[in-house]
Amino acid sequence: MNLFLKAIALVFGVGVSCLTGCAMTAPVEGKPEVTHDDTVAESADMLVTVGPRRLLEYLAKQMAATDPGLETIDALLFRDAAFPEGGWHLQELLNSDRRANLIQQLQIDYLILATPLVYAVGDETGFFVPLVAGAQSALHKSSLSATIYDMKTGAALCRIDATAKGLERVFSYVIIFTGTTPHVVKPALEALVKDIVRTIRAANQKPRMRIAILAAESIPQTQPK
Amino acid sequence: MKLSGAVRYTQIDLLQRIALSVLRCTLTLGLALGLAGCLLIPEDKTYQSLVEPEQADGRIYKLYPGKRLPTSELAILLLGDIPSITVNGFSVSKTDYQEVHLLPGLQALTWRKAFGFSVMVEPSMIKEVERALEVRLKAGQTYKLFADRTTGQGYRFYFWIADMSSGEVIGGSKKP
Repeated sequence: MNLFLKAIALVFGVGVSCLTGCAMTAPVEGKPEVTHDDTVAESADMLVTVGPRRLLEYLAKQMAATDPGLETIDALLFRDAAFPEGGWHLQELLNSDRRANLIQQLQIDYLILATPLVYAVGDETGFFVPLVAGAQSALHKSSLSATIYDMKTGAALCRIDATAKGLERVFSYVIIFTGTTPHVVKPALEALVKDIVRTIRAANQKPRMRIAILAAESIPQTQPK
Repeated sequence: MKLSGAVRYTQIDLLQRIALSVLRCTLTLGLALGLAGCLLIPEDKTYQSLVEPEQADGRIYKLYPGKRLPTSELAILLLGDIPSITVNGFSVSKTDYQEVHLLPGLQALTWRKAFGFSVMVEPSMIKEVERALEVRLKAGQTYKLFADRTTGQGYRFYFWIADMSSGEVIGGSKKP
C-alpha cells in the first residue's frame, strides 16, 4: 500500500515536472515592401503636427545615419516658423509666399510629412486545443507612409508607402510553446528612410541639404481652435 | 539472523527515505518551475523604443503657436493614465507627451482608454471607450484627465477632468 502511494506520488511528481510551462520563440525579420505614388492628390485636408514625437525623432536619426548630407531641422522650430499664427494647415504653407520666407529663414529644401505608424495583427489561423497541442499563425504588419514636398515649388515630389510583414508561428504541446516572433517595425522604417533618401538624392544633387520631418494629420470635423 | 534481519530492514528504510527525498525534490522543483515557468520571447526593440514609457517623464506638447509663453499664461493639461487624447482634433499619445500646453479658452477634448474585464462580465474581455466634451480652460491652471469604471455586471464608465489646485471637476462625471 505504501509503495502504491509512493508510485502515485512519483507519477504525480513527474507529471508536474512535465507541466513546467515554457514559451520560447525565435525572432524573424519582417519583409519590407515599398511603393511610390508620384501623383499625390491635393492635400487640402491635412494638418502639419509634431504629434508622434518619438517616431519623428527616430526617422530624423535614421535619416542622418543613412545620409549625413541631409541635415534635419527641429520639427517644432519648423512648425512655429511655418505657422506663426497657428492653424497648421498644409495648404496654407504650400500655397503662400510663406515658403519663400521659410527657405530664407531656415534654408530648407524639402519637407517630409509622415503618417503615424500602424501596427496590425491579423486573425489567427490553425488549431489550438488547450493543454493538448496547437499550431497557429498570424500575420503581423506595420506600415507608414511619407510624402516629400519640394519647398522651392510647393509641389509634392512623391508619396512613399512602406510596409513590412512577418508571420508569427506558435506550436504548442501541453503548455510548452515555441515558434517565431516577427519584428516588422524596423524593416518598414528602414525601407521608408532609404527610399526617402534615394528619392531626394535623385531629385537634387546638392551635397548638403536641409530637411524637416513632421507628421500629417487629417483635419477633424470640428475645426481646431 | 537477527542481525541480518536488522540490516535488511535498515537498507529498506534507507531506500524508502531516498525515494521519499527524490519525490519531495521532484514535487518541490516541479511546482516551483511550474509556477515560475520560462518565457523567452524576443521583443521588437524598435517598436518598444517608440511605444514604451520613457525614463524621463513630463514631455510637453506645445500646442499653441508662436514663441514660448510662461506657464502663468497657459492652461496645462496632464494626461495622467490616459493613453491617448485629441485636443481640438490633434492627436496626443502619452508615449510621446505627458503634458499639453494650451492657450486658455474653450477646448474640444476627446480621451479614450481601454478597460480590462473578467470574461464573466464582458466576453470580449477588453473594451475601449472614448468621451468627448468641450471645456473652458483658464490660464495658470493645471488640469488632469481621468477615466475609470465600476466593476461587475452593469458596470459604468466615468470620464472627468479636474482642476488640480482646487480638485473641482470642470467637465464629465467623476466616479462616485
